[in-house]
Amino acid sequence: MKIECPSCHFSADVDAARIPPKGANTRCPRCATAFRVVPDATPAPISPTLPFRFGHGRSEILTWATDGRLAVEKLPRALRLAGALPGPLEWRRFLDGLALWLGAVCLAAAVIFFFAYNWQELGHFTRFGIVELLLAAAILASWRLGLERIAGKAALLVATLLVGALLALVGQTYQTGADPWELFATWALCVLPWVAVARFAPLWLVWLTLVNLAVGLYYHAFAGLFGFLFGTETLWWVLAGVNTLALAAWELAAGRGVSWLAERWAPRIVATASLGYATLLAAWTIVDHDSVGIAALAGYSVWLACAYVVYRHRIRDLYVLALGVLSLVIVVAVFLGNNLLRHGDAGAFLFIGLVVLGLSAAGGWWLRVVAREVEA
Amino acid sequence: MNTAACRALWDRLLAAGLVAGDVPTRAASPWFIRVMLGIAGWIGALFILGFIGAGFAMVMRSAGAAAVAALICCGGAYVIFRLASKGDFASQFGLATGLAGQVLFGVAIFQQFDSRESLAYFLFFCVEAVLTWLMPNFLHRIFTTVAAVVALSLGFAQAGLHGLALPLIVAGCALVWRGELRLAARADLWRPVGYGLALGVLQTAATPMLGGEVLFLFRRGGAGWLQKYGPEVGTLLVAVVFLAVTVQILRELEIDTSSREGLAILCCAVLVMGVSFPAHGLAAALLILILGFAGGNRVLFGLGLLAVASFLSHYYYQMRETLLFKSLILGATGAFLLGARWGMGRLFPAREARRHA
Repeated sequence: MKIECPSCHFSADVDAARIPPKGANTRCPRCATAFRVVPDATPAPISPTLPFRFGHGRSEILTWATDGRLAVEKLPRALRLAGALPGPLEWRRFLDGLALWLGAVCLAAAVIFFFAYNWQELGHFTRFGIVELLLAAAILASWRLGLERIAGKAALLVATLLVGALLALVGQTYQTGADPWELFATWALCVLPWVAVARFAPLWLVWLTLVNLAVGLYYHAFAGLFGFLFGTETLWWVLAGVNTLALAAWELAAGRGVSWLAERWAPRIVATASLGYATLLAAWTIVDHDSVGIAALAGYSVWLACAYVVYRHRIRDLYVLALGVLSLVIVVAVFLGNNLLRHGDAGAFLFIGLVVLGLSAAGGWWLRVVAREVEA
Repeated sequence: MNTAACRALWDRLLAAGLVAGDVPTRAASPWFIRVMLGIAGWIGALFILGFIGAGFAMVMRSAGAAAVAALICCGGAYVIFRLASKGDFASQFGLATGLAGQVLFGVAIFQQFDSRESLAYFLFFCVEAVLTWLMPNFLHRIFTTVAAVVALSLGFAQAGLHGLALPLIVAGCALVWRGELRLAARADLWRPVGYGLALGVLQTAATPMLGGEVLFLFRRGGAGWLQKYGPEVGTLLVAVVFLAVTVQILRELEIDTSSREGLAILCCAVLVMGVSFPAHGLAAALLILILGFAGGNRVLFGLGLLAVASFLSHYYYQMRETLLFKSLILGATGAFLLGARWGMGRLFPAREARRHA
């Protein structure tokens, strides 16, 4: 007899003869959800409602109601039929995940806050003892629970955050004189091995955030010393480059069928950071008169052209295309403002305003055309 | 949702007798296209304001002139929004003109009244509330709702009642989103208001950058009891809203609140509110997350996630308590949540697995 976990849908064959007639409680080996199994193998009746899929069909049904194609009083039933509203099982899974992740993050944040307080009455030995014990416990928990279970992944996230607390404690105790960028760079380096084996997209995002912080703080520390070499423009170049590389690697791996990278929300965050820095680079180049500018604007144009080809024709992600339109509107506004607003002319303000509105309206129209194509 | 899935869903509803006729076709507009248009409209509004400021300088110096210009801008935007066959450019132009009008109303009010008086903020709140009601545009309504919420928070803070605006905003947000299906006939009004209120909660509870906390710290030792304990009273009221939403969701799921399961869930909610009580804002951020999940609304859920993440990063810099105290509160909250998860899993195992014989 095949049984399936009601939470993560992991299924396994069990011998029906081993299940007592009254049924028995069991625990899913993957997500640890406890549930009851009964030996009766009578197939469940076919449900008239679709299984819950978060957000699936919701906006369509609400639009039909707004347009008068569906009576308002029939909305709740329609949403339930479409599986757009969560039932008790989905609530259970959601609350389980919420308690786990929020609990884990709160605990890790508590440790970081505790060491940031720098409690003088607490000896060095005790401080190191606490953080090292907690770190060891988190790693042990992750190992025991297994990285295929969400509890194991949560434990690994806690361990990742605790490494930062340990490194900060080293700096605080021994007054190493290290710059903040060194803390984040060492942190990113230390956790890289287990981030690499965890097969968990949010942990990669945490790691990428650490890298971004390290790079930003590095240039912040050295900009004054080598301003001409490590100026703001270089910082935007490096950050745009790092995030674009990460995005390209992510999309390539996801395209080759790496299942844990399939969700679109994570690469969208990376794309937002990457294009955000590329936009800052282009805008900075326009307003900074010392800058040569051609290379930066060329780099920005190449980014947009590549994003168009990839996200319009290959991956078809409208989110990134919408980001591109917004970025173009901003860069055009900065360019026109920089060239036309030197004398504070009212007409120039109006002209730029109309260009911004015209470009965004055209962009919106184009995106809707693409959306219709994608839906078809 | 692609066309085939959309048709399949329509056929399902048709079979259930909920709809009639052919599947309707309508131009899709995902949320991020709306966000893009909103941000671009806001940038356009800045340039239109620049045009008014540079071309008609007296508008920025006189309350009366600013009020007249604001009325013209908002009136123009209203006419554009009411046009039967408006194009994309007209909508964007209407949005930018309306946003410029909002700012000009602000200029008129703060030219006339001292910005240290709470009355000025409450007046601005009233103007924004009226604009929200009148302006028939989704994005414009989100902007006016957010502006109204910010004005209300600052008005309360200026009156020394820091922390008391939050429960009002949270209650409004809960009413709109839990009553979404009942309010569906006026979804054009209430949906953008709901998003505006959620953004308001995100701003007020999770990323308070408006100096309200500084104002509170200056005035804490002063005036009456309510002014002194405003944040605590506010958080208590937010907890009441949280519990009311919990009870309503339990009823919707047909779980009796006096049953073992219902009582356990309610107790957990009360204890989470109790343990995290000194972390003002966490409950409000969590509520957005729960409202998003309850309605199957991914955008609202995303805002909830952002609110919780923003709260945790902002909490580090909150000046009201020491880092040691904040560490204890977070540690206790985290430990309780993990303990509750463990306990609930054992007390109430999922009733039945899906079986495939």
